[in-house]
Amino acid sequence: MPKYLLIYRDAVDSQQPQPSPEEMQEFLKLWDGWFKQFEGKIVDMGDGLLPTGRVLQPGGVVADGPYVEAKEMIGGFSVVSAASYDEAVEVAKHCPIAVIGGAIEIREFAGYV
Amino acid sequence: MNSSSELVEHFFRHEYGRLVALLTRDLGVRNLELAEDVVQSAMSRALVTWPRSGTPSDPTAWLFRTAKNLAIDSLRRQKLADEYSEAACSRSDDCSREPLRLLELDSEIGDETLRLFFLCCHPVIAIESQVALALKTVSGFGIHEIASGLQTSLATVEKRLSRAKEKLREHQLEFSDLSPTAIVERLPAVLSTIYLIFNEGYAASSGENAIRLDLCWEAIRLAKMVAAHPLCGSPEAHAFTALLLLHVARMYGRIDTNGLVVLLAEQDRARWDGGLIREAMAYAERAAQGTELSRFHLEAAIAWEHCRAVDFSQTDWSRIANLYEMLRQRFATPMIRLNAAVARSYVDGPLVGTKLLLELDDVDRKRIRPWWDCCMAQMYERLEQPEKALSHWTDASALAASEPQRIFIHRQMERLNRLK
Repeated sequence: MPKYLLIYRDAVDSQQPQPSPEEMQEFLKLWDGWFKQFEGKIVDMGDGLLPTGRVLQPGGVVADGPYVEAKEMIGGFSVVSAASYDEAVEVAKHCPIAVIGGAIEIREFAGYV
Repeated sequence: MNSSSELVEHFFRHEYGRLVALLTRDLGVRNLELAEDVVQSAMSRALVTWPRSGTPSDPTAWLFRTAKNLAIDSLRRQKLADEYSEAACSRSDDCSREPLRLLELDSEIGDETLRLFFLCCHPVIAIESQVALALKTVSGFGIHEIASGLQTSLATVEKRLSRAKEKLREHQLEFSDLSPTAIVERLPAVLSTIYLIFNEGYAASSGENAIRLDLCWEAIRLAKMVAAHPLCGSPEAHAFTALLLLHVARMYGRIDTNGLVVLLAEQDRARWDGGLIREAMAYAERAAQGTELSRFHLEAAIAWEHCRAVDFSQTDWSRIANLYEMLRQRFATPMIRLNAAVARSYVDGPLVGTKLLLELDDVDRKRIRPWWDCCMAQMYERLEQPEKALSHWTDASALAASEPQRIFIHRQMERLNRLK
């Protein structure tokens, strides 16, 4: 079955205040619910990514910070297995990131390996 | 795998305050902001970790350990690595007892949370800033939740918080400043702050805003915490807790499904919460120990008289009027005088009630309008003088502070017009 990478994109210039502890508990519940709902389809829950990073540019130039091209930054990822893009999108739609209004990029694994 | 849905309700919110308090004890009040940051980060980490590896068997210990490590990392980056261990070691027990302390977390934290709360209520901090700081640090509310609960803007809440923290820095306040005597002395200020939090929530009409009802429950949680403490669990603190419970027990009867105020005489007493009333009585019993008769004793006794009456007609108004009279002699605020006048009118008649209401001068009246106008209108209705009643309802209508209030007053006017 094909695998898909879900890439979580957070808005960078968000003026939103930090989530409150109450909201974080709600969020935790959403993740648990998502995991249970798609237990067979979620291959790897993935991880979150810290907001800092390095960019290695051609020619060996190292710059600070993640590569921010758009107004969003990759905040985390998961891997799901699905029969089609439609099915992968369906899993992503129920992902807490989508539920709270975040953007998710869905990319199919090429399967070269 | 444990499920996070097994976490008790408000787990994160309540743990936030406990963990911030514990870290602040170890790091010093100057690092309060760092303590808040690392607890927030530890919770963010839990969001990613727990769904994958399961909720730890002791989530509090997990959060504390994670937050503490983050604090040490942060201080190390600031080249202050020794500060944590120094601060932690300078306390009576030494660092080697760390694992033991984690085990003692439950019994110990209660006290630290209370210390943090008492610190927030320091008299150098303006009361509205005390409320914001306590809600943020002790109660674990987000700034947008505080803004919504207090019906003010994010910017205002942020301003109040930064002012409060400025005062903490300026006066170099520390947990250790809170001697047993200082704790007892600050108790009245602490109860006032809790009362303010409670009233912010209680003033809300039902369903309008869930976060405001959370303020009521949070105030009760804080009051119980104060009452349970050996140093400040005075009869007054118990009376205060009983009072809040008696208020909240009747909360769902005083507002109808449209958010409109229901008059006491028309409230469905079956909607009052018997469980909460019983809980209040347990606190009232503890309040009755000793010789102290505080404002809260009297207010709780009045609330209890209302709860005790099977229906409006069974109300023991003479007892209530006497309690209000005792209250009025001690604290003659315009609101208490207004309530005292109404209670007295059910004993000695509406003419006496009107007389007492008219004794309030213009300055006093101004502070309690439109309630004063509503009470005057009701007195004249009972005196069967509809014209005068209508004129007071009209004044009240012009002064209504909210839409539900305005609708309520208009309904009274329509009813009166139909009777004429």
